[in-house]
Amino acid sequence: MSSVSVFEYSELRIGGETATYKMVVISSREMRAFKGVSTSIDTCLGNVFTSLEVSSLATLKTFLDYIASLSEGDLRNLLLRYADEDTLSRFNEIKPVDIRDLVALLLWIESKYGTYGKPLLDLIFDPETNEFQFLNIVLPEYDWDSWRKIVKEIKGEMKRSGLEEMTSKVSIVCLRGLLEPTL
Amino acid sequence: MSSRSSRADALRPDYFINLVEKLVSSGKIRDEACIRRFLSALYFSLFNYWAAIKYDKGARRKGPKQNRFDYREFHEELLREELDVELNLLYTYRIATDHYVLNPTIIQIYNKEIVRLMTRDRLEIHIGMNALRKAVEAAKTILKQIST
Repeated sequence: MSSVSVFEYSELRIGGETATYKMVVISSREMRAFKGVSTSIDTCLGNVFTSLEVSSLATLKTFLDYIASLSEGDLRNLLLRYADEDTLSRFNEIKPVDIRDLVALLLWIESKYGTYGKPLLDLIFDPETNEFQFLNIVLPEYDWDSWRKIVKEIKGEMKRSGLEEMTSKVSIVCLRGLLEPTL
Repeated sequence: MSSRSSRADALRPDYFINLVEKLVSSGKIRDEACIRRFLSALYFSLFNYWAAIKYDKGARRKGPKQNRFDYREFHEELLREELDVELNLLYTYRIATDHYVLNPTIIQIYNKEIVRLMTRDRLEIHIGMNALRKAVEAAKTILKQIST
């Protein structure tokens, strides 16, 4: 089993200033899955997990490096964090992008924009031809004003991290932005 | 029209988009049927124009005359140019207007968590003048990109 947790905490500094920290933890039972520095966490169930702490400032490239050695099972479980079984099944039928790249992207997006809820994955099919069109990564709580800026940031990071080809397969959707004309 | 003329010149949608914009600002669009047709036509005017540019440059695809292009290729080019906002706005509303009768409505979404969120927060696609105004702006942005 794999999981991703986002922890946020604040501390009051001398002088009254408050510092807020955010940490993303990817957990897996497969200790060999991780490269770099890791720590062990004893869960309340007594299972020992190997965890990797990833700074919220980490680049997408960092996530790609971390994900590189995960097993297929771990990748599937991580993707189920963002998609239900039906969506995952459809994704596996088509395989429009590499699952490793997609999981890394979703983890990075969650680490950067997950404060207002995790991203969700959907597949878009044309209703006339039934042909797959593109993947939607939906940010539920972001609005119209943020949308273009977030697209630029995410796609810019994808290009810098060697995922330029994938930018044409993935669409970033701020759900409230898309439906704002209704308000 | 001669098939030897530039298809892109013939299908350039500047005039059409400006016409819709003028109708929107003049307040002359009065019913949902008109709004639906304009939303759909804005999307297809851009798709036709994009395909015509490709054809003029020598691209050949499907059909007896190899002049039928896929939506997917069009969408991929727009996403590569980071036009996610404009594509989603035009394509989502074009699907809603052409294929769904209710207004507001929710189009097919496979991830049930997204449907749950939309239902909880009553986020639906409302086909109205506000959507058409945004669609005109989106169409102008896409036209500028595919014309370069």
